[in-house]
Amino acid sequence: MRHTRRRLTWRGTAFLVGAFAAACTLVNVVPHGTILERPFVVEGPVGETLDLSYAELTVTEVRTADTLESSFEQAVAGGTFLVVDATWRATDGYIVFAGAEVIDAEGRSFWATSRGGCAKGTNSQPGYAWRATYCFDVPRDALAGATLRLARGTHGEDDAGQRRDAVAVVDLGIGQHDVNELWDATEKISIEMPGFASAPATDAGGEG
Amino acid sequence: MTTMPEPPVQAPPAVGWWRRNAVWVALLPVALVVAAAASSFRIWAFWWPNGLHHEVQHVGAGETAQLSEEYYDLGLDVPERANTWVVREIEVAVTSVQRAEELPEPAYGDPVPVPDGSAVYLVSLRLAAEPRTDLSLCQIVLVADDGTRYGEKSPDIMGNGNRCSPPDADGFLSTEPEWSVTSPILVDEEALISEVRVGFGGPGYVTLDLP
Amino acid sequence: MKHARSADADLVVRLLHSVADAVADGMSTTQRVVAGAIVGVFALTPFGAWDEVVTEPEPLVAGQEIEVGPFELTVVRAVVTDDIGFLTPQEGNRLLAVVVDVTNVSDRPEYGVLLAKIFPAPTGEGIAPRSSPFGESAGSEETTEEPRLPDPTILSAEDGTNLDSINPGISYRVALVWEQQLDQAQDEVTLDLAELTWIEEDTTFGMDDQRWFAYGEVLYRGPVTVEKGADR
Repeated sequence: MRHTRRRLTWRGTAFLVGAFAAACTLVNVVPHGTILERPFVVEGPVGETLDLSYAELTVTEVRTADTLESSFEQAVAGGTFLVVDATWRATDGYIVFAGAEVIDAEGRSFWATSRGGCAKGTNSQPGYAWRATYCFDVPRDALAGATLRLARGTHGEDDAGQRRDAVAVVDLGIGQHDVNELWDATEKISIEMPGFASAPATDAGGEG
Repeated sequence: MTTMPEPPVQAPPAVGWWRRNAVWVALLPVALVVAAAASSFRIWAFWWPNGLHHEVQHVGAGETAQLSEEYYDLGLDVPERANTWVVREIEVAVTSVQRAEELPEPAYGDPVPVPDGSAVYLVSLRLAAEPRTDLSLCQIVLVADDGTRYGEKSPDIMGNGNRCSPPDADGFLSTEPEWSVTSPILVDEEALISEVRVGFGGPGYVTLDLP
Repeated sequence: MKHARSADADLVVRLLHSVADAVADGMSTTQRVVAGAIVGVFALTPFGAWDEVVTEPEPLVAGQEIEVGPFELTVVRAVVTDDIGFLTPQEGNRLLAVVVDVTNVSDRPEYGVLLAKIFPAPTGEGIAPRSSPFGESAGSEETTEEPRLPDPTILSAEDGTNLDSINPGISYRVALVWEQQLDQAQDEVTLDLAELTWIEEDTTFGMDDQRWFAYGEVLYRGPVTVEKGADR
């Protein structure tokens, strides 16, 4: 009566153990960070409007300053402040833009600060363009080749908040020959609170 | 398993692997669904309660909608309701949606001009509920024909965090059995608005068609 | 009692002997060595064999650069004052600020409050418990336990702004500010600097990988002279 009773066979056991091992190997070998969880990066230069599906983003101006001034406080840079004006236009509904970092040529990350009245994050809705000023205290060697990374997802460990979501990466257009001038600038910049953009984001780039 | 007398030769029953394992094969999709559900707790824990996801009622132009939904009360306004589930029942009707030339006075700061490319709509609602109904987190949304949701944020664009209360209201509790509110919403100039949604943070909301 | 022996020894010794014999007889040499070691350690129990290893903290010297976690730190001085930036003390208190030069020498940004993990509130210096926004201190009943002393507020000493983050390669002169009760004021404050440990992979419930964590071990300890006045 061979087939009336179920039994453990060597072949079946080997199959199960093999399948388990193969699945474990697959989970460990597949590079999550670079393939499965990779954000959808939308790249562009300063002045161009980038379509992130949930919003349109235009970086309108990049400046440096040693001192930031707002209506309630004044902040002095440890390195120098990279001051970036950006305009958001949400496309679907109300949205919080939580991620703001500068990444230098070596891949180091620099967080935005709220010192001097700057925005570390902001939020917006469809129906209007929203301007926010981000400030990053960076050392001299981070300036050349720096890029700005803005998104609705937070940065943080392995960019967990940005998995499989659109992220804007804007080349700030700083070359090696610009570094001295930017670093030596001893300007004081007045920071405005986030507010309605005076011109729609789509026109700010002056292109197309 | 050694020297047993040879069993009488018998043709093996014609039962294939699929047949023998029919129960397990049938259970496999069930197991997959259970595994997927077990690892999707974030959907009901974080996504579902935050935002307007469940249309409680959809009514035609000029009709009155009933928003009835349970919410967890923290007792911020009514201490005796603290940490209990409370049913919020509100009747909503749209009395008008009008375009305005200027934005109303902000809650604080100087008047703000209408941004380029934007149009101001004033949405007027008539609301009815039992007094002492909690009206916090009220959202009044204009939905365009392409699905874009305008004015979801609470507080609204002018900083008013009490969108479903009358302008002179003190706190988040209703005082009258029936009252009216007007809320300003910025909309893209070319947008075609087709409906109004009203909710209180979610997940439930009501939809009212516009004529 | 297979191996009971001579009759002239007293009962206890005979018993112990026989037990030891019975156990040791069936053992290999390796097993005997291991068993001997275990018995040895237990024998040292009254002398502190199980006590935690305590490392003496190194002396903290103002003006000397040290490295803790991702930071290079130099404790500059301690100052008492009546206001720094937006901070003002409650009545009967004043502000005690420890001024530290901080450089993030790692290659990732850190939150400013990480410094609060390195600099726990000095004990026995009359640091005022933080007043809770909900009125009286959270556990309003009198507890026998000492209330947990508050973390310092992390400010830029140069401009009094809140230092929310410290980017790699950036140096700040930082003020770590506590409220101190006036009647407890001394000319010197003893500071403890806690060690930070890098958590590459967090296997605890939080699963919060790649961060610095303070287990509370004191790395440096030393007195810092307290100066008076609004000088930063």
